[in-house]
Order: sequence, then structure tokens, then C-alpha cells
Amino acid sequence: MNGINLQVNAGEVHAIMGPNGGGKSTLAHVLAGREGYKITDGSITYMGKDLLELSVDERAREGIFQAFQYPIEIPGVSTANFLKHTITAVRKHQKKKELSAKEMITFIKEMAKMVEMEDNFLSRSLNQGFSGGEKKRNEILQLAVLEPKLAVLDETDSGLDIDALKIVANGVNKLRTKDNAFIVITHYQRLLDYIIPDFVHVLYNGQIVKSGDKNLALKLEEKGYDWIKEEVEELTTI
Amino acid sequence: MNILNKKNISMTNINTPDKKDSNEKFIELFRLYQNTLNGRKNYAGHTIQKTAIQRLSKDVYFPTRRNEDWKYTNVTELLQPQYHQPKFVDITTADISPFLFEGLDTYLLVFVNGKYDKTLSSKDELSKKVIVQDIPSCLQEDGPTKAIASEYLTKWASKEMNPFIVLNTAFAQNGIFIYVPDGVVLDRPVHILNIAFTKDEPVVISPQKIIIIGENSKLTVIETYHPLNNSQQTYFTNTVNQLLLERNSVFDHYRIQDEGENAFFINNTEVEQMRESTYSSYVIDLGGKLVRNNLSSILKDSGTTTNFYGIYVGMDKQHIDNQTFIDHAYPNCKSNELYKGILTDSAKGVFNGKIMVRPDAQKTNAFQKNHSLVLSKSASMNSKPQLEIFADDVKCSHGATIGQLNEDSLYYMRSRGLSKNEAISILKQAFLTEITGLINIEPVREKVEQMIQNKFK
Repeated sequence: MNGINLQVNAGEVHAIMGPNGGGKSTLAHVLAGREGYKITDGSITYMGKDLLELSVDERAREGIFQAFQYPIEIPGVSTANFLKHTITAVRKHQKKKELSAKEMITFIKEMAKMVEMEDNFLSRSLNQGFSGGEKKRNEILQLAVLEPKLAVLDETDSGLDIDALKIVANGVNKLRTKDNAFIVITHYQRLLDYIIPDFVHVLYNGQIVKSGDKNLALKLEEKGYDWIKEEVEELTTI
Repeated sequence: MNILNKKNISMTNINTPDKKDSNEKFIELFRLYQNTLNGRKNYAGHTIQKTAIQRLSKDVYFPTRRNEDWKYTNVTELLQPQYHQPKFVDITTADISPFLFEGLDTYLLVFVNGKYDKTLSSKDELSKKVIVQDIPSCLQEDGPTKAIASEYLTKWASKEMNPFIVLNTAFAQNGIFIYVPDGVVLDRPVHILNIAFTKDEPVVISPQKIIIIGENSKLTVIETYHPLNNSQQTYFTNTVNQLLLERNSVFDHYRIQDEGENAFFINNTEVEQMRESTYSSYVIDLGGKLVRNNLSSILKDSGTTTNFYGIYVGMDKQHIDNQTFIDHAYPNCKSNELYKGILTDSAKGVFNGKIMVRPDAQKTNAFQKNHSLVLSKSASMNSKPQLEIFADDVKCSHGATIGQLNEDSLYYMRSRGLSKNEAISILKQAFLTEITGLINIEPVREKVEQMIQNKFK
């Protein structure tokens, strides 16, 4: 990353777009707290806290959620069991009311219905044997049950057909409130037809080179990324 | 002949001073024990016991590292204590209740320090369906069990080269003989609960079982081993099982070992399988300082199925060694082995799976897998498959992996708010699900999973 300045307020949806290699995934990973990245300068403040001081699981308990581009399979851990553990951990930290076993299952099933996932997947190992679309919907399910304040969707739309995309977008839209925020990282504009962003930023060479509203996304759809790259080159040669 | 024994013969003529001392200690213990027999010296069992103990001054020695089969497992510490015969201990229903399976009706046989506890057991009920008899009375009385019991015990006493089997033959007092008659499908599992208790002196406990399952019969046995009150005491459980599955019989055999942290546990289980019989073994090793299991199945006819499943969880300085042997001597037999373990701290695990496929054993299917997680720098695992295949129309495979937890899985779980420790615990449990998931008695599976989880904490 070569210098990012970004402010995301509650209730907002920010889309991060850009050509491959521009730094979109790096941004997602750094926000989530993945190891292997060194911050050489700058800070990330989340709800008044210095985010860089928190480990990945601390950040999750503080209400940050990352929907992965490539969700992995964890054989031997049932989806239901996994969700129960994580919901309990996050709710406990946030001092939310503890859910009984029955309440937990009802809650999970309700959210599952929202992303159109069948009940039977709950007993299966996490993501094992799931199609790409099912894995992405499972990410949104986790988002739904963990109720994060900040959700970072890392190319959630990649590999999805239009129907799966609509289900994912629908889920996200249902979960939007004035108290939470979304950073939607995407390469294609398509997703943004369904998840209408408040702001669109273009990430190129590790910097946000252009910001705008949803119309910027439409312009990118029409013209591609080349015109942005040209603009940036012109600016740097002046 | 059992290949394990063959190897012992060629290597045991080494009279190192320590090894002679160990033999002496047990010989002396036997002398003391004889004095407590109170006039029972003339009974048939005693002659056999004397024959056995005399072998320790003749041709039977405890193994050293130079024995191939004991290369990774050192028994010096096990042989070190001056063992005593265990004393009789009176325990109550409350004492044993934590060791029972909630929600499972069983025929319960309770042994305390190797001695049968009549009041806590339901032997009478079981006797209505099968023959249950203590081995000394099998040998003493002229009944249907005498010949078989004599045959096995005499063989162990005079021909067996495995020192631990010989030791067991010398010291077992309350061996048990179970015979399931032809065509009997037992309605409940038999739970053989072994409790160890000693206050100050180290004791040697010698459980002994002969189990015969008749034609077309079905039996489930769950053996469990626990110390009373989480004892820190030193004791040595040296157990021997001889199992015979007659034609078309089915035997599900569970062994859950949760001995004390300073206990030594040696298990020798030999199975003989007749035509089309099915033997499934589930061994769970959680406790004990030094654990060594020898499990073998000799296939004596075609069409048999043999399943060996095992879990070992080693922590601190535990040493858990599983040796298995399957002798495919007839065609169309299937065997499947899966052992999985997790080793942390300075624990050491060993797995040696031998499979012999003899020239006539065409259409054999023999599969073996051993997977271990070694989660700390000082922990280690030695895994050795040994397949000797002399038939040419067979399907055999073996595979072993030794690794760590998947970093991506850990990260994923942490990114959902689980602490590192919680995530590690869940992944460790998940690793063993492949085997716990095979336990088809729900209360047993639940208890095993709970015991494993408690161990992780």
C-alpha cells in the first residue's frame, strides 16, 4: 500500500474497485489483521480504538468481519458447531445476552433461510463439498449471525453466477443498518447494481486514485480501468 | 506363528545386569504372593503360574532397545519400581459412577486392582445369556470351559516368549472367561470397568480375559481403565486378552484407557478369526506415562473383516506405542487400519503396523493409515508400516502423515472471533472426528469426545 486515506462512517457502504494487483486484497487483509503484513506508516482507527494493536480474533470480537474471497474448508468441524462457538465468543465479548441452545439454532436457521441455505448443510463439515456459490453464501450467513459493525467483503462476487450474486446482495442489503458499515471490494461493477454504494474508490498501485459515488462505478463498467491508469500517469509526469 | 514373537526369540539372549534384576524382582514378588494363596497351592491354576514365573529365570527376558519391536520404547522406567501385589479395596457405587456411560444400559463387570467386585457387577444377569466364569474356576472345575482355558494358559506359561504375557500368566488372579454361545446376539454391551487404586506402594495389576464368540453371534465389549480419584500413584496394568471369533460372528471391541499420569500400561490382545467373522477394535489412549499396545489378528479362514481404529493423545512426557499385526493367510479377507493421534509438549508416539499377506491370500484387501499431529518442538512421532506381501492378486496400501494444524484453518477461525487456543482446541477435536465418528454407540462416542476435550483443557 502506498498511502491510503479512507474514512468510513456508520451507515455507509464503500466500494473499492480497481485493476488486479492494485492492492484490494491487501487492504482487506490488513483490516482483518492477517499476519505477514507490516505497517510502515500510518494508523487505523476503529470506533476510537487503534486497530493495529488488536489481533485478528480481537478485531473479530470487536465487530469486524471479513468475507473471504476463497473461503476454506475445515473437515471435521460441523457448520453448526462452528457457528455456535463463534457466535458465543463474539456475543460474550460484546456483552450481549447469551443465547440458549434453542435460541441459537432458531437464530442460525432464520439467517440461513435469508441466504437460501438448506438446513442440512448445518450438519456438514464447514464448507466441505460446498460449491463456490454455497461457500460465498456461507460467508454472508456468518456475517448475518455475527452482526459486525464493519464488514469487509473481499471480492465476494468472484466466481458467482447471477442468481448466487443476487442472493448474496440481498443478504447484505437486509443486514445494512444505520449503525454498521460495509467495505465492498470488487473487480466488476456488476455487484454494485444490487448493493448500491454510497462511495466508490478506485485502488491502483496501492493508492486510492479516484473517489466518487455510484456513477463512478458505472463509468468504470463502460470504459474499463485504462482511462484511470492514463490519468494517473499524466498526473505523475507533470 | 506370531511374527512379533519370532523377533523376540532371536534377540533376547542378552543378559544385561539390569534385565536380570527385573526378572529377579518379579520372581521374588511371586514368592511373596505364593505365601498368600492359603492352601490353594494345589489347584491347577497355580501349577501354570509357577511354570510361567520360572520362565523368567530360564528363557524369557524383558526387551531392550536392541529388540526391533521395542526400538522406540524403553521399558527401563517401567521395570524400575519394586512392585507389590495389589491389596483388596472396597469401593462404592458413587466411586464408579463417573466412569459409567450416561444413557447406556450395559452388563457391568467391575474389577478393582484386577480383582472382581461382585457387588458392583451384574454378572448374574449376564450369566443368563452367556457363560461368564472366572478363569481359576474354569481350570479347577471339570466344565466345558476347562479345556480351552487350560490350552491358552498352558501355552502362555510354557511357550510364549512375550515377557509381559508370561508375567500376566504368573500373576493374574481373577481372569475372566466369556463364552457367547452360537446364535446369541447380546442385547447390551458388556462394560468391563477396570479401576486401579494404590496408596503408597507401586502395584502390578494383571487383568486377563478369554472371550469366545460362537457362530453367528454378536458381542460388544467396552473395556475401560481408570485410576480411582485421579491417582498420581505409580502402578503397572499388564493386561492380556485372547479373543476367538467363530464363523460369521461379530465382535465390537472398545478399549478406553485413561490411566493415571504415572501409570504404566501394557496390553497384549490377540484375536483369532474364523470364516466370515468381523472384528472391530476401537482403542482410545489418553492416560498413562508409558503405554504399549500389541494388537494382532490372525485370520484363520476366508471372508473375514478386521477393523483396527485407534486414537492416542499424548501430553507432557507421555509415551504411547501402538503395534498392530494382521496375518492374512486366507483369500478374500479385508482389513482396514486407521490410527490418529495428537502429540504435544514432550510426548512421544509410536505406530508400527505390520501386515502379512501369505501366498494363498489372494483377493486380500488390506489398508493402513496413520496420521499424527505433532504440535510442539519436543514432541515426536515414529510411524512405521511393515507390509509383507506374498500373494499377487491383492489390494494393499499404507500411508502415514505427521504434521501440524492447518494455518489457514486457524486463521479462518480466529477471523470469526475464536481465540487461538479455542481454535486450536476445535481443530484438534476435528482431527479426531474421523475416528470418534465411527463409534456407533452414541453414549460411548459422547463420553470419548468429552474425555478428549477435557484432556485438551
